[in-house]
Parts: sequence; structure tokens; C-alpha cells
Amino acid sequence: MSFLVACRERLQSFYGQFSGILNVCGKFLLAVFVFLLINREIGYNPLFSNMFVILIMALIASIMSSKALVLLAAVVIMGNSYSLGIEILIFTALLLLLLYIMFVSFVPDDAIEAILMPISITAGIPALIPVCCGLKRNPGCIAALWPGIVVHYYIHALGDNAAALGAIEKTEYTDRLKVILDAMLENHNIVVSIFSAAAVVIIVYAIRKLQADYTYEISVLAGGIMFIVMSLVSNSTLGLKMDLTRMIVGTLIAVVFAYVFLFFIHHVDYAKTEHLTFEDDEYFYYVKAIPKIISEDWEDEEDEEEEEDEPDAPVVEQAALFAALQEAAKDVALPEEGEKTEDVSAQ
Amino acid sequence: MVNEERLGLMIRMAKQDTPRQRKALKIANYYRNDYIALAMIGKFIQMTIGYGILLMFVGLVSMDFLMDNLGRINYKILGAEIVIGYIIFVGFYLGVTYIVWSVRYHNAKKMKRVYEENIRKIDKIYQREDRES
Repeated sequence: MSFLVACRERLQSFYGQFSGILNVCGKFLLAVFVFLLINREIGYNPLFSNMFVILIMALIASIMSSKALVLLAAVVIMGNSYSLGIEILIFTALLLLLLYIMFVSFVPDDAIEAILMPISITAGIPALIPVCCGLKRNPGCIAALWPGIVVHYYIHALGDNAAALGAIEKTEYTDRLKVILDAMLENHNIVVSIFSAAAVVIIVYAIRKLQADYTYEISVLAGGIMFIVMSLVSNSTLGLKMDLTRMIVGTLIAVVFAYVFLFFIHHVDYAKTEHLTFEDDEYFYYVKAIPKIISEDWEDEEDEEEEEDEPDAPVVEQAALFAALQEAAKDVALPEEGEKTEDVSAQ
Repeated sequence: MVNEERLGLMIRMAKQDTPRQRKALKIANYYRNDYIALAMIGKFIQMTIGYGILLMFVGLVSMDFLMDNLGRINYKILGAEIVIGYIIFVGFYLGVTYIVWSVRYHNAKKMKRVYEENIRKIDKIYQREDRES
């Protein structure tokens, strides 16, 4: 385990050193992946299927905020919809606008989750993003997950019914639209995914907020179980022909990935939990402090490196700067993600 | 000579100088009611457009039924249903807007308080240093 912890700290240190360039590269790769994924389903427009155009758009997305990626993904979807017909383009634009107005506009900072959700569904691990959202965010991010789910199934409906659309006269606008609408309404997987995602986020968030030990670890497991239960119940009640083995294996993989994610954001040693009690003029404080697991080798190596780097630096000033930096880092960290998880209750 | 306390405060403030904090400082400059009212007016317009789109989709799905029963539909009841639906839809979203924007304003004010407190502390340190020198 100490090896893994040391690896994590090296990775975090590496990310800290090159976060600027890594963020840009990460966004670029994500954008390319998203555009290719859209084109795989509905790549009917030669302009948006062109690799050069994809790379240019990915480059734009990489230097802008994550909201730009969402916007560019919407442009690619609409561009491909236009190839199916002008009425499909208008319908797609209206659907995306409706999803933005009803959901995404309330959580604009979580818009990236609307992109990640379809990716996780396509990868066969639909429980991953809701579990991670429950661990890191609050239930409000459900409003970003739902549009992602709807858009994923909408793109599928367009891809699956492209041939049917081609068989209908181009002037039969309502008939063509009804093909897509019926395909969407008959697909109960949308409803199941929407409710499952919401239930998973809520249960993970509710459990991890409990003031007990191992709540984060239990919440991941509970999220996975909740997803399987929701899928099984909807499978039997709605008569879906779901591949249960694939769903269960996918959920197990999602749980494993969620534990890896948890390892990076919240890895503490509950055995060394300290319960402190102190008071001031007005309150009694009952504090629960849980130390983070940090590799001792890594700390020692860092100290040695510092000594080697600046042997002639004034020791007093260096120590003062280090103390000030530590103080600043301690205050900036959020309670639930910071170096100590504190549970303060006052009487 | 480096003043550790001032340095610590300045590092802390530099670390907190994120787009999120800059946005929060802008929000905190509003009066609470103005901030929420502006958001609700914007959302009211958005939701009216959203309801229109939703009605279009429902109309499209029910196109066959509407065409078959064009003469038999009670338009007064249909109109009343559309208006009631609109009131419920917009009312729900305005309620959500009120809650979300109230929380945002509260958080922004809290961030501004911390920011101003740090500014005051740094200012005091500077004044003390001036007196000592």
C-alpha cells in the first residue's frame, strides 16, 4: 500500500508541476474523443467528420473552459443532424436548448459532467460518473447528468433510424420527426438511466456525509448496489431486455474505478482518528481529526531534495516561508477534501 | 526582513484569487434582492421559451390524436390545461431559481467577508510596520 501511496504522491506532485500543460492536453484528448464518439454514431456530415476540423475544434476546446467543449459538442451534433434534414436540425437545436434551459443553466460549472456521462454509458460503466459525482459534488450535479443521458440516447436514436428517415419523403417533416420522437419515447432505458443516476448520486452523497468511519468507502459500494437494484427492478417491471451480466460486470468495474478515484481524493487512516475536546468562553468543541495517509519515504525524499537544491539559503527565512505556505495550504483546503476531516459540533 | 504573518496572508489571498472568487466578489456587490430578482426575471423568460418548446414537442407527439379529434376537442379545457401547466412549470423553476441563487449569494457574501478580513489584517500589518520604521 505504501508503494501505491508513494506513486499517488509522485503523480500529484507531477500534476502540480505541470498542471497547466496537462490540463490543456487532457481537454484536447477529451474533445477529440467526444467528437469521434459523436461521429461514430451520426457522422453524416463530411465537414464535421473531417479529422482536420475535429483537431481544430479540439484545439479550441483545449484552450477554453470546459463549457466551450459542451458548446462545440452541441455544434457537432447539430452539424451532423443537418445532414439528415433541416427539420432534424431544428428539432435537435430545440432539444439542446430545452435541456440547457431546464437543467444545465442551473449548474453551468458542472457542464463537463454532461459530456462525461454519455462517455461512461458508451464505455459500459454508466454507474461511474454518478458515483464520482456523489463523492466529489452535491446532488445538484444531477441536473448536469440528465442532459448527458438524454443526448446520448438521442444520438443513438438518430443513428439507428437514419435509414428509416432516408426512406421517408424529405417534405414529410412531421412524419420524419415522429420517427425520432417515437424511437426516443419507446426507449425506456432513458427513464431507467435518469432515475438510476439520480438515485446513485443521492445515496452516495447522503452516506458520505454521515458522521461515521468509512462512509466514503461504504458510499461507493452502496452506489454500485443501488445501481444494480434499480436496473434489476426496472428490467422486471418495464420488461426491458437488458443484458444483466454486462450490466453487473460494468457496475463492478465502475465501483473499482470509483475506488481508484477515491484513493486520490480521500485516503485517510481511520485507525489513527483522534477525538479532541476543548472549550472557549462560549462553546465546548468536540473535534474528530482523521489523518491523511502520506508516504513517509516521499516526505523524506522531498526534504532531502530541498536541502540539496538550496544549501546556502538562509535557514530561518526558508523555514518561515515553508511555515507560511503550510498555513496557507491548510486554510485553503476544503474540510471534506482537506488534510484533515473534521467534525466539529458545538454545544 | 520578511514579515512571516503578512507573507502568509498574502500567499493565502493569492491562492484564493481564483475565477470562482472573482465571480463571488462581483455577486456580493449586489443587494440580495436585486441579485435574486434579476436571476428570476431571466429564468422567467427562459422558462417561458422552454415551456413553448415543450408544448411543441407534446403537440408533435400527439399530432395524430389532434388531427383525428380536431372537431371534438374542448378548446376551453385544453387552453386551461396549458395555462395551468405553464403556471406549475414556471412556478416550480422560479422556486428552484430562488433557492439556488439565494445559496449562491450567501456563499459569495461569506467569501467576500473572508477576503475583506484578510485585507484588513494585511492593512493593519502594513500600518504597524510603518510605525515601527
